[in-house]
Amino acid sequence: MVQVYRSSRVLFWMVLWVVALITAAHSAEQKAAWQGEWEKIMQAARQEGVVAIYGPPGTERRKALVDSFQKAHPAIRVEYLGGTGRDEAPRMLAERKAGRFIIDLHIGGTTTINATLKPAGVLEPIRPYLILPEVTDPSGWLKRRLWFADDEERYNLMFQGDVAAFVVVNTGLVEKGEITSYWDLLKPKWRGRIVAADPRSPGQGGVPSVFLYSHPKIGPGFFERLFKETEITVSSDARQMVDWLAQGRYAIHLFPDHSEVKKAIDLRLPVAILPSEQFKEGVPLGVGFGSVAVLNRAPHPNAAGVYLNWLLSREGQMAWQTLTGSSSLRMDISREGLPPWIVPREGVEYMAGGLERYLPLRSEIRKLVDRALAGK
Amino acid sequence: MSTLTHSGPVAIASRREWIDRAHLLMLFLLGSLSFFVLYPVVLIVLHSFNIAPMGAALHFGLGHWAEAFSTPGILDAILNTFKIVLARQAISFPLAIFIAWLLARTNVPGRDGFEFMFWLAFFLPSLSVIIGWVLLLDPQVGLLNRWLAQLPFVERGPFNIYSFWGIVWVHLMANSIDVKVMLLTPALRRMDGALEEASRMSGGSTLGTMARITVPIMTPTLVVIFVLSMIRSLSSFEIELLLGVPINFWVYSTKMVQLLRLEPPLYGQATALGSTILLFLLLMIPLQRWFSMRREFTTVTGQYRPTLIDLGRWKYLACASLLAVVFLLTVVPLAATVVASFMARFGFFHLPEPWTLAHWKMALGDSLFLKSLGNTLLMALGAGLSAPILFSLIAYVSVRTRLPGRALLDFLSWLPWAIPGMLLGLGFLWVFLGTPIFRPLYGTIFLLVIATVVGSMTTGTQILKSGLLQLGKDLEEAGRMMGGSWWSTYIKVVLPLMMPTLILVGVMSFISAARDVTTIILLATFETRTLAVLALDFISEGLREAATVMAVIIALLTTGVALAARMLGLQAGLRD
Repeated sequence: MVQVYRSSRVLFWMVLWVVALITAAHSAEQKAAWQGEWEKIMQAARQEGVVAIYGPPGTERRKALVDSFQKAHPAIRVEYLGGTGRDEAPRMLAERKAGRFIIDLHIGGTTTINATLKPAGVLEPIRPYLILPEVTDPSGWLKRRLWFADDEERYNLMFQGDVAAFVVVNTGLVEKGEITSYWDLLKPKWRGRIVAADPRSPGQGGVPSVFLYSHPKIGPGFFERLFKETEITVSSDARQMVDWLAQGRYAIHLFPDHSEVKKAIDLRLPVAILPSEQFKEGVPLGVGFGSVAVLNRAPHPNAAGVYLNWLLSREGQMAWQTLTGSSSLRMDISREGLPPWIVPREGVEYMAGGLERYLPLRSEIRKLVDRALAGK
Repeated sequence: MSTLTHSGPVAIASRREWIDRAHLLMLFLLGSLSFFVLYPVVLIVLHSFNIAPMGAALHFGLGHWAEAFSTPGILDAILNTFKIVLARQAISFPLAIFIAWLLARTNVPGRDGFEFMFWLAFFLPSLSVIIGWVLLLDPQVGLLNRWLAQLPFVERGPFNIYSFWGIVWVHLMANSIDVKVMLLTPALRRMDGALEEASRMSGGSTLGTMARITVPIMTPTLVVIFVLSMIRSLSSFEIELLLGVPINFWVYSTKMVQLLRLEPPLYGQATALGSTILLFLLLMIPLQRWFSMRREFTTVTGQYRPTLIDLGRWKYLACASLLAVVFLLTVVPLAATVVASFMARFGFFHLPEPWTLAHWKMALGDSLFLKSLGNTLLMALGAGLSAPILFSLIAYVSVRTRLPGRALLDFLSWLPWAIPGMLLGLGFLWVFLGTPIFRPLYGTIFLLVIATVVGSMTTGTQILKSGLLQLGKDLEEAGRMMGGSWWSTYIKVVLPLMMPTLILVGVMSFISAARDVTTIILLATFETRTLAVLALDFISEGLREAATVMAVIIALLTTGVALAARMLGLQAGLRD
């Protein structure tokens, strides 16, 4: 009996040893595979020497996307032009039509990529460019997956995910707990006291309006009433709206620019964002300028690969998050310094409003708001 | 001889040479303007009929036009546009004529300084003017309203900048009075005083003489300024966007901008709306041309005598009134801009630490600042030096010759004024990238210079044209009778007489280029971005105070140039 027991133990340890050996060998092989590929691409990227990017506007975003990369990879120069997607997309298409293939990567909102660049057939699948294990390993990301905005999950990778709580109030004019549902906004008390970012324009109004419009418990009826009955004021100036709220001109601001709200809160102005858990209908997840696409016929494909892996790595995402104040979709990095209300949490269901499948809703919303405001 | 208005004993050989050269010049001008002005505009109009998605093959239809003009509220927007235009012009025109007359034809004290202040007002960015007046006239937190509300008999501040009259007021303060004064004053100054003297000797009062003699003589300039203002009013949008949209007050241009700001932008519908302004232009230009050409408006002749009217005791009242207007036009926006650049958050004086240098540190410490400053200077200098030469040639050929094609040339010079900067920039992008010879220049400052020169073409050419119309032909004829060729007459007679106006046009082009964002935003690259583009970067992140630092720097830069040019103009001009 003892003999059998001993034999089993020996056998057990032998099997374990073999499994460990195989695993180690496999892992070494894997490691060697990505490392070999990475070294090859790094070498080619250094030879290319440049990566050309059309990215979002703003100095802090530029610092995050240019200066931080430059520190990590000084041998690859970033040629960066910031602007809005509506300026960059026609420009890029005109350049390509003229045979000028200048740009490697486009970083910005998902709408430009899915509504303009993808249909124009100028994008390259992104996955083959992802090499570093910390990038490809889904366990590092929210819901343990990479987040694509396009239907095929090939071209448009999102890396920013702000919980898009979109009701901000003047703390002197709105009581705590007074608004717990979006339907509360229609109460006569708030008539003439709400200012909203224009949901017809891209930007902060886009995702929340899609969320409200497509929500089974809210829907187009609510949306129409909001713009028709509440004497709502619409503006396209994010700063102006937060100023008005802080000055008490309005009590509620819908669809705010979070960085503007944070600046106002930092200056101790009487402004607060209503936390997502306060709303029984939930909140969406906003991408802002945080998504990326690779252009086909890119002039510096290897440098683009290095850049892409850096951007999606912990280091790149920390740089983006720290300098822009937006939350990364990576869950394995520190959230220090971020406003708590924008950080997504595991276990909570969010609707990512920037997905390609929601694009048709945008024009429906625009027409509805046009009609509602014209009929006021 | 059929092609020239010149008369006098000019040798046939030299005349033929002139005709050949003139035809060549005309060909060059028509070719250049067709390519740099007509071609982009045609592309823009064509695009309004292209119903294919962006980047796809062309497919023509009327869909964009139908959609653009069935947008809810478009008719109200058109009506609002005309209401605003009417109110603006009805107030600013008589006021500007009166101010220009005071500055140019009377002995009001400090007139040179006042005139410079009107230049300065014109060069201030609209955004500075808007934020300055919002700070004062916001119904709830406006400083003026707050101060007035402290009075015992006033319950609340009476002003509301977010209203029809608020918008009209800011238009008057931003770009309605100053530009007219700036354009009218040199023209009035060149007017021969003998005409007014004769009127007064016949018993006419000072104001009666102004109404019956001065204003009618100024008809070409007035018509040009009127048409310029009318057309620009249809396409300018900044003030209505910030002050009108929050009260659901839309005008034609804000509807157009709204379409361009969508994602993806509805270029087709926006170009349809933009093309309609061209139709308006098609009606206005021949009318303006007919009005200017149907009779002589010569005011500067060989017997030219600039004289000033003595206002007597009234000159002190006039001086005080001018001081008040200049204060409203310049001090308010300038002070607001400078104050904003030092405030933690503009307009929030009650913060624990309202003042800071952080925005200056951020703006000046930006890694792109020096490069952007260099690019701005290079581009603005290029535009400021090349524009007066090109525009004076266009103006001279349009006004002083009977060459075939001059009406077309004149019409082409008007086109850029009718197209909003954003659409014009798109047209340039298509033209420069679509023309192989220009592709290597894509991404260089050179293309930005071309774009900004085209952008200021209408104003510059029309100012020079109205100046030439007032310049008697006898001076040129005398020059030619002395044996000078047309070129030497042009250089030695016409240009010196036109020098103040040429300098004015050069400065305007310099400053327009330095401030321009909309026309160049699609053409500037990482190597050629300018200060105005950098300011846009700040604004897009809500760093409005840092953007005002850029506005202060641009204002300092342009004020310096305006001051230098004005001193130069005074030395070179007629006043000595």
